[in-house]
Amino acid sequence: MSMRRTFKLKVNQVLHRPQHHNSAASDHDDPLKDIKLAGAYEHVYQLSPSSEVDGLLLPGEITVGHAKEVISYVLHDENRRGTSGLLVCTNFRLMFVTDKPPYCNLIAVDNKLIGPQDVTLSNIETIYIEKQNGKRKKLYPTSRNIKDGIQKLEIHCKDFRILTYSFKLSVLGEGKNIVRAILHHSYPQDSSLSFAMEYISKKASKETSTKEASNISSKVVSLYRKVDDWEKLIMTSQAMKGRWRITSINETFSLSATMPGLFVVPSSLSDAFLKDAIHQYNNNRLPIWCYTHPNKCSLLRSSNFREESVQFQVDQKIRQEITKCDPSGRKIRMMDLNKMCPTLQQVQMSFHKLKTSCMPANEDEYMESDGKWYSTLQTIKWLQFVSCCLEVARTCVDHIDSGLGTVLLIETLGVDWTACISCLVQVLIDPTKRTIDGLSELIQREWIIGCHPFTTRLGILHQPKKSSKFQPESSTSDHPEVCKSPIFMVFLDCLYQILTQESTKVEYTSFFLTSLADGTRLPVFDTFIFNNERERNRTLQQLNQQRTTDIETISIWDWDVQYPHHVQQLFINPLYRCKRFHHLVATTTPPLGGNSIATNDDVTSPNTLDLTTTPKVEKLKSSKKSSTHHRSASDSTCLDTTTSSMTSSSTPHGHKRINSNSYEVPYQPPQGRSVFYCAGDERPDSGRSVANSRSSSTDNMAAEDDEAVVIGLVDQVNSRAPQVAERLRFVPNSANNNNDVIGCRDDDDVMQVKTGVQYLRFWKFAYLRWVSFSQLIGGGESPQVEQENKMADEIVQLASKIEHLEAQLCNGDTSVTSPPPRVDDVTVQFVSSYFPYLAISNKSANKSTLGRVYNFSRKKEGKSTTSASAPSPKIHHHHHHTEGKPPHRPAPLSPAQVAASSHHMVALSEQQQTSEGGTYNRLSSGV
Amino acid sequence: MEFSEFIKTPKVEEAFLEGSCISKMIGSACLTGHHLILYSHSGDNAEHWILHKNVDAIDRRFGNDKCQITLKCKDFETYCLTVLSQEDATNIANSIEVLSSLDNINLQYPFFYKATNSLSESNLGSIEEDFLMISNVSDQWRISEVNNNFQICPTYPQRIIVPKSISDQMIFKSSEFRNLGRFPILSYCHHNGRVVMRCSQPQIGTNNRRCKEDEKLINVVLGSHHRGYIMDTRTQQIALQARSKGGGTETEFNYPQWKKIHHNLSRPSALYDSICKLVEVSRDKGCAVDKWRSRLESSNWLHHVKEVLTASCLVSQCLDKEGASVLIHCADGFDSTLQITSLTQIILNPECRTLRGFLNLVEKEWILYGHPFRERCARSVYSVGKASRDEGPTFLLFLDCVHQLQHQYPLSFEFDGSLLCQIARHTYASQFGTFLCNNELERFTSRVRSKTTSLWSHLLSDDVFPSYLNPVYQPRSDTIWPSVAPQSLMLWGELFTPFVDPSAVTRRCLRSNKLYLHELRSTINELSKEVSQLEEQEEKLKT
Repeated sequence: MSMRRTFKLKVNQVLHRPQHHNSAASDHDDPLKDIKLAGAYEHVYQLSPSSEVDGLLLPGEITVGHAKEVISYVLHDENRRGTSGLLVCTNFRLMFVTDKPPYCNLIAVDNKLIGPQDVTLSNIETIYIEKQNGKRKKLYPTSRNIKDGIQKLEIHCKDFRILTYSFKLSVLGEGKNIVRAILHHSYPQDSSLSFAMEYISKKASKETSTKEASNISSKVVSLYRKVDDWEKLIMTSQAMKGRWRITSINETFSLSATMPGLFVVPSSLSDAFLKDAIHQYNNNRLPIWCYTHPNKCSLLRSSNFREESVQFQVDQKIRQEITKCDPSGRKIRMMDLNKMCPTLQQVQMSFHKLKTSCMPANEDEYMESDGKWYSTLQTIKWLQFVSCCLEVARTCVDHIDSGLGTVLLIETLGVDWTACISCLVQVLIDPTKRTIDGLSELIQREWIIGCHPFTTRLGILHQPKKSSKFQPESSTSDHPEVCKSPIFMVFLDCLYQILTQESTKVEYTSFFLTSLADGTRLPVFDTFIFNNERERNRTLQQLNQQRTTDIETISIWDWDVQYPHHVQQLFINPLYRCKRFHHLVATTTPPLGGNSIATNDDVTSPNTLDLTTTPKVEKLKSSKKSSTHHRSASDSTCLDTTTSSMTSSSTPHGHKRINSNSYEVPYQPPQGRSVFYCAGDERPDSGRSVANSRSSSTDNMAAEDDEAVVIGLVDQVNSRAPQVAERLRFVPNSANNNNDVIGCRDDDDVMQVKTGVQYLRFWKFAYLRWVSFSQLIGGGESPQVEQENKMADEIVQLASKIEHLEAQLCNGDTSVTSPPPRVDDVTVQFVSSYFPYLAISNKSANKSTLGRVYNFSRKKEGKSTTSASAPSPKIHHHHHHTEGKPPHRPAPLSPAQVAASSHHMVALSEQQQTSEGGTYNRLSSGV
Repeated sequence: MEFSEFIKTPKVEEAFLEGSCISKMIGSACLTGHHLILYSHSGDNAEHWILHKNVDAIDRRFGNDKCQITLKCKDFETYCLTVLSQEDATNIANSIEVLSSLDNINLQYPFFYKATNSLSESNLGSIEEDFLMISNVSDQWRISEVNNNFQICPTYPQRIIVPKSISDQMIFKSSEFRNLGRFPILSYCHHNGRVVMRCSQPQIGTNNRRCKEDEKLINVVLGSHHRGYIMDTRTQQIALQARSKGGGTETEFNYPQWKKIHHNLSRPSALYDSICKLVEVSRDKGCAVDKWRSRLESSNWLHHVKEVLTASCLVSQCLDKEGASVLIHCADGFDSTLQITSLTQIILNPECRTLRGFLNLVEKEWILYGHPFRERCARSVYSVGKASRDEGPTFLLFLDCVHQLQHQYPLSFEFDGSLLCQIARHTYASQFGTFLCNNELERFTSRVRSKTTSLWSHLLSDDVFPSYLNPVYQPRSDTIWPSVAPQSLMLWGELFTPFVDPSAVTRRCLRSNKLYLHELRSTINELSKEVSQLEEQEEKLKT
C-alpha cells in the first residue's frame, strides 16, 4: 500500500506509446506493441492501413476516414513547427498517429482512453478549413460542398484547445475525405448514435468484467438508481427518520420524463396524491428532497408551480407537509432561482466570450489582450456569475445552518440552477460531501439522477434547426428547454473557488474538477450523454433488445476505465489527506505573524512584541476506529494542557509515549481501542484545571457532532492506511484568547466562502491550460500541490514507521515485522503550472526570446540561439519547418532510437528548465 | 519639548472603537506621546496600540450626542473612535494631528522604543561579506574609502566597492558629473562575471558636457570585448528634455560600447496617484460586482507592476542570456533604478530568495544606497492633496513585484507573503529605526543606527523569523522567469483587499493554509524525532 503520489511525468511513457511507431516498425517484432491492449477491431472498413491503427482502437471503435502525411502543428505556434503523421478519424475520435516523438505540447496525463494527440469527436466545437488560396471557411454540420484542395484544417475544441493540421503533403483528396468524415461524425443527432453505446456493448461482450481494484475510491459510488442507495441516504440521518420516504411512482418514467425514477418526499404525502400533483408543476417536477441538516431544516428543489394551474391547494398542501417534516414547524423559505441566478442564455453568452478570450491564435494575440485583461474579464461576466451562485448558496447555507427553516429552491424547469445550488449548499454545509466519494455521489444524485439535461446544455447533440446555418456557439434558441448553457461548468468553477479558499477542507483537487469537465466530452460513459433518466433507460432498452446479453454501462466514477492508479492519485488534495494525520503530534503555536495583521500589534505595541506564548488547550480523543461502541468510553481519554510558546512548541503532547516512565502504559493493539497518554499527564501542570473547565464546555459539544464525521473519515483512512488509522484522533483545537489560532481543522464547520468578485480567482488551470505560453515552469499551483504531497507522504510514512516500531516494542518481539510501506523515491522531472496537462512547452527552443526583445540584437540572435541550444543534442531534424521544404522522411526509428530521442526530450526539457525557465512574455513593449 | 504639551485630554473613559481590521469594542482611550491606546472593558482585555505616526488623516464628525473621529492609517486600515464629549474629541483629534506630523527626527518613536529582549545585530548589508562574494567571481574590484564622511555622495554609504583599476580621483570626477554625485556603482555581480551597476543621470546639460573619467569608469567594467547596455527608465524624449535642466542621458557617441534601452517606468508621484485609486477600489466594500475589475484596472497599479517586472526581466536576460553588463539609471537613481536592480537579483540569484538574503538585499539596495524613505513614505493614500511630489510608493511597488514572483513561484522563496506585508507596514510607521531617514548621511547625523533598534534584528531574531518561513520552500539554484501576462498578475490581497467581515473566523481562513502547512512541517519533525527515539529504544531492547 503506497500512498505515494507519482508525480513523475510520464514523458517516457507517452513517448513510448505504440502509436509512435510507423508501419514499417510495427511489421517487425515489436516488443512495445504488446503493451497496448489487444483491441478488438473488426475490419469493417478496410480504409486505413489497419496494422498501424488497430492496436490503438477501443472496443467498438472503427475508423471512418484517414489521411496520410498530415502535418500536425504545434499549438499556438503560428504554424511554424509540426510533426507529420497519419490522421485517422474514427467514430469516437480524431487520432493523430506518428512515429516521431511529438514536438512539444505533450499532455503528460496518462489517459487510457485517448492519447495526448487525440481529440474526441464530441469535443469538437467548430471546424475551419483553409483552401490553397488562403481563404478560411467555417464548416457547418450541414455543409455539403467540400471540395478538393483543402490546405489546412483547424479544429476548435470545447475544452479551448486548438488543433491545426495541414494536408499540403498528403495526396490530393485525402484531406477532403477526412474532413467529410469528421464533419459527418462530429455532430450526432441522437444519443443512441453515441459512441458510448458501441463501446459498452462491445466491451461488455469482450471483457469479462475483471475490475482492477485500483480505483481511487475504495467504495463504489452509489448511482442512486436502486432503492438501497436512497435508503442508505435517508436511514443514516437521525433528523430524517420517519419524516421522509422514498417513492417509486415514477419508476417507469411514465409520470414525468424529467424526474428521477426514485425520489424522496415527505412521508405524509401519499403516492396517489403525488401522481395527481405532479402535473401541476412545470416540467412535471415535484418538490423533492435534497438534504436535511441535523437541526432538521431541509433543502428541497422543484420547478415552478404551473401558472395556468388552478389547483393551488396542491402546492399549499405539499408545502404544509414539508413544513411538518420539521418538528419545530419553521416556515419554508422559497428561493426563486429564476430571479437570483443569471439566465441560461447569459451564461452561454458569457462562456462563449470566455472561450474567445482564452483561445488566442498565437502569442501576439494573447499579448494584445494585455492592458485590457481585467476589463475583459469583467465584460465576460463569468466570474460575476460564479460569484452570484456562491452568494445564493451562501444565503441558503446561512438560513439552514442558523436553523431558520427549510429552504425550497424553485426554478422554471427545476433541472439547472436547482442542481447547482443544492450541490453547493450541501458541499458548504456538510463535511461528508467534501470528500471525493461524497462529492461524486452528490453530483450523481443531484445532476445525473436529478436529470440535468446534459445533452442539450452541453450541446452534445446537434439539433437541426429550421434555419440552415448552424451556429454552435451562440444560442440558437432562447427557449430554456433547448438552450445550450454550461451550467455544469459554472458549478465546477464554484467548486474551484471553494477549493482555493478552503483548501484544507475539501478532498478534491483542481485536476479532479477538470477531469469531470473533460468527462462530459468523453462519450464512453453513460453519465453525461443523456438529458434525463428516461432517455437513458429507453436508449439502453432499445440496445438491449437488439442484443441477447444485458449490456453494462460504465459511469464516469469508474475512474479506472480512464486513468491508471497513479493519475487518480492526483485527485486527492494533499492538505486534506494530511488532515487525518496532523494531530499525531501536537501542533505549534500560531506563528507570531498570526496576530499582527489583525491588531497591528507588531508595529505599534511594545507590550505584545514578545508575547509569543499562547495558552493552548487540547483535548485528545482516542481513535474512533472501533466505531460507536467505544465512543462514550473513549470520549474521556485524556486532557492535556500545554502552555507552549514559540520556542517550546516542540513539546509533543498527545503522543509521547516513550517519554521517561510513561512507557509502562500498556499499548493497546490495533483491534482494540487505543488510548494514548500524553506527556502532559505526568507533568505537574499549573494551568490544568482551568483548561479542563474551559475546554470541556466547548469541546464536548463539538465532539457530539463530530462523531459521524470522524467515523466517516476513519473509514476512509482505514481503506487507505489501515495501520495508521489507529492513530487517528480528533483534536478540536479549542479557541484561543483571540480566536485567531491555527485550528481550522474543525471539519464540522460550515464553510465560510467569500463570494465577492474580489476574492474569486480566474481558473487558469481549466481555461488556459492549452495556452502553452501562459504556463510557468516550476511555478504556479501545481508544484506547490506536489510539494504538499511530498510532505503528506512523509507524514504517512513516518506515522506508519512509528506504528511499526511501537508494535515491535510492545510485543517485545522484533521478529514480527511487516516492514513499513516503502515509498519509492520521487524524481520529479518536470512540473509546470498546468501539470498534469501541457507538460512541455519548448516553444523557445529555437525561437530566441532575445530576438524578440531588442531589435538591435537580432543580428546576434543566431549566435545566441546556437549557444543556448548547444548543450542539447540536435533533435529537431525530424520536425518540419514548413517553409515549403520537402518533407524530411527519416528512416524508421527502432525502439532504441525512440527511447534515445525521448531521452533527449527529457534532457532538453531539463536543460530548459534550468536555463529557460518559464514563460516569459511580452518583453517587446516599451523597447 | 514635552509631548504632554500637546495632549490636553490624556484619557477618555468611555469610548467606542471599531475598525476595518478589528472587532468592535467598548473601552477607554488613552493618549501617549506616540500612541493612541485603546483598552477594552470587556473580559478579554484587548488592547490596541495605534502609532501616531501611522495616522495619515483624521476625519471628525461631531454630532449632538456623540463625536466620531476616524483615523485613516498609512497601512490603509481605518479606525473609528466614538466619544461622548465634544471637547475630548476635539482635543484627541488635535493632539493626534500634531503628534503625527512632528518633523523632529529625535522625537520619533524609534528613539524611545527599547526592545524588551536585547536583539543581536543583524549584520546585514556588510560590505566585507559582499566583497567576499564578488571576489569569488572576479578580482577586478576593491573596497574604497573615497566616500568617507559622505564627502562625494551623501546618498551612498561610506565604504563602497569600486573597480580596482579606477583611482579614487577618477571616482571623484565621475561623481561630479552625475546628478547628486551618484556615480556608477556596482550593484550585483552575476556568476558569469557580468555586473549590474546603478547611478543617476549624467549632467550633460545643454552644452553637451562629457566626462572621460565617467566613461572610463564604466568601460573598465566591460573589459575589452564585451558590450553593455544602459537602461534609462525614462522615455527617450524625457531623457533628452532633461538636458535643459542640466541632466540628460548618455550619448552613443561618447559611450560607444554601450547600447541604450529606454524603458519607461513611472515616477513616484504617478505611483502615488495609482495607489490612491487602488486603495479606494479595494477598500470599497460597496463596490458593484460588475465594476470592480475595471476599476481595478483603471487604477493602473498592476500595469506598473507589469512594467517594473518587465524591465527587471529585460535586465536579467541581458545578464544571464546575453552575457552583457547593464548600467541602470533614472533621473536620481534611487527610485525605479533600485526597483530594477533588486528585482533582477531576486530573479537571478537564489540567495536573494532566502529570508536573510532578501533582507540583506533590501538593506543593501534600498537603505544603504539612499532610497529616500522619509520623503516617499511621509504620507499615504488618505492625504490626497496634502502630499507633495516627493511622496510615492516606490518601495511598495517593489514589494508587490516580489509578491508576484512569490505567487508565481510558491516554492522558490524561503519567506512568505506576510513578511512582505510586515515590511510594507514598517516603512510607514514603525518602532524600528530602519526606515527612518532619507539616506546614510542623515542616519549618520542622527545616529539612527546606534540609538534605535533595527527591524532586521527583530525579524531575524530566533523567536520571530520562524513565523515568516515558507513551509513549502524548495531551494532551487536557477533563475525564475516571471510571467508578466495580466493573467498571471494578482492583486496583492493580503495587503490591499480588506476583510469583508472582520471577525476572527474569516481571517483565520485566509491564513489557514500557510499555518496549516507549518503544522505539517512541524509534524514531520516531531514524527522523525519520535522515530529515532523508538529506534533507540529498540536498539536497547535488542542489546
